[in-house]
Amino acid sequence: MDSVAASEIVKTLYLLGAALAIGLGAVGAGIGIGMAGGAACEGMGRQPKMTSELFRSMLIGQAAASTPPTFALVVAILLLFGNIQGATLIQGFAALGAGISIGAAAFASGVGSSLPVAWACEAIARQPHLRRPFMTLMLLGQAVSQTPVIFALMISFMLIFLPAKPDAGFVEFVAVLSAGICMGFGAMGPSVGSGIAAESAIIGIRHHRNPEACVGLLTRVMLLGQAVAQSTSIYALVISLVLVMLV
Amino acid sequence: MEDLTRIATYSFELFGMRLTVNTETVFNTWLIMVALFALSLIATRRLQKLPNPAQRLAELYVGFMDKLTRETLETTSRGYVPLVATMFVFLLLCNWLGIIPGLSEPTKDLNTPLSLGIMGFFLTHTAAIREKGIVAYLKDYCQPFFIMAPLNVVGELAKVVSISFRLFGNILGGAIIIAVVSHMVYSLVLPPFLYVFFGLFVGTIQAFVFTMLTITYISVAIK
Amino acid sequence: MDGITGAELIRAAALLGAGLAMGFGAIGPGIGEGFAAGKACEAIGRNPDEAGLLTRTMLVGQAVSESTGIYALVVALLLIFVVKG
Repeated sequence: MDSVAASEIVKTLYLLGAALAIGLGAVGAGIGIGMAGGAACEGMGRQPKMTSELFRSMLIGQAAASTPPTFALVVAILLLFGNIQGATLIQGFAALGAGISIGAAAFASGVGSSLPVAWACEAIARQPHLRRPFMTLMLLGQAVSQTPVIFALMISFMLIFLPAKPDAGFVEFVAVLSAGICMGFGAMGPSVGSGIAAESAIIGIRHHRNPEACVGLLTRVMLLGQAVAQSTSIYALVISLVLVMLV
Repeated sequence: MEDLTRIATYSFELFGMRLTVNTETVFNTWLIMVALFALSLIATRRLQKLPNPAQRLAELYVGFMDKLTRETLETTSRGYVPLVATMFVFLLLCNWLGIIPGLSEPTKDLNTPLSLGIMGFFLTHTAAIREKGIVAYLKDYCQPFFIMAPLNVVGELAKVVSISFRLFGNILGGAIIIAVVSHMVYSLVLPPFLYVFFGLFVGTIQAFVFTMLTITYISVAIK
Repeated sequence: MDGITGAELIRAAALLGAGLAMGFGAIGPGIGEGFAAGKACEAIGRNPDEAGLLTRTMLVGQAVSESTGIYALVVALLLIFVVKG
């Protein structure tokens, strides 16, 4: 092992980061989008007349749910094809951290933001006349539940574009890696949680006696609940920012 | 990429302290204040029974905010309505400002959301002391038992951190994503769409969430 | 990587511990608070007249379930700023 050059270690860390980013990041959306497709198929089986409506709703929801893996893809491409000539060891560790950050976050968010799609498809099949409120709530809930991924992407970009610090030592290497781990795993819970909140809001509309009248109220409560549920990911963001700034 | 790290600052000496001001944020904030002042002048000039469009829009907005605030606080008093209505429209324009080329969102600078969050913190606790009395207010910190008091205090302070970093993180995250993507595609295709999503859509939602959370914290504290 | 002193090792472990504490500490409260928000939405759908009470109860419940996340934050900040190695 003593013949491995530092530049080779850096290259390895970059490749590992890219692999973790897209490898982890694509899993969640794969599961979630599949569940959404399954729910749409069930709905079509129950209401064959609704096939085209359901197909359209499913595709819109799935497109919105595949935003997190798209972020992961952007990070992976930056890590793979970015210019790493003369990159120092700390930038290699930062690249690994960036990959873990967006990979773990996109994994959870892919599942979380697909949950509302599955329920919306089922709800549209049962109550086709309420398609508009269901779609509004679904898209809004998905967009808000992707906030932790935006935080994770921000930390990833900060780590990727970290300046080369030639005098950085072991402590700094661990710090940048730790920032990535903190943001990545910290974004997992809130992403899934706010997806659950969005899916339950759709269920809530279905239980209501006069569904069209309570869309505004439920949207407000859902936004508030999701915002509070995301505060732990904001604490993770603060810790990550401190760790990056400390270096 | 360089424009992410460059911050226009102006520092000066005052009473032996070195103060640094982010000139870009101050300029943009004043721009928004001037715009809001002009808008309210236009809307309230020549008030009539049969309103002109500007007056109608202003009435609609104030009525909506009035209903929202009083429903959330479950009171009939209008004390908090001006604050809430002003905060929302101010944050909305702040978050939307980035779509104009050459200007940047004041909320991208942590100082703007943090100062609004600290203002909300003091408002909440003054309202709670005024409503419940100082003894009952202090007793709330000893829930469920006395030893938990320091952690309850940390929990209250963490609310300020979470409310301000939520807005700051969303707006800065959007700005960084737009900058990186523009850099990658040489500003050819994607950015207009991204500006609509992060500037208009996320900006509106986050302004609403910030305002709603401020009222809700007050409503939880006084009940 | 040669010549890592004991102090450096402690400092590095403290920083890694801070990241792990906050990262994994955020998972539970995030999911739990999402559950609370979802159940509140369902309940409001069933009984919209009690929306104010339900929203306040939801927020109080979320604040309580967030306390473990705040403990993680406190521990992470202590590890970063107090443990100097």
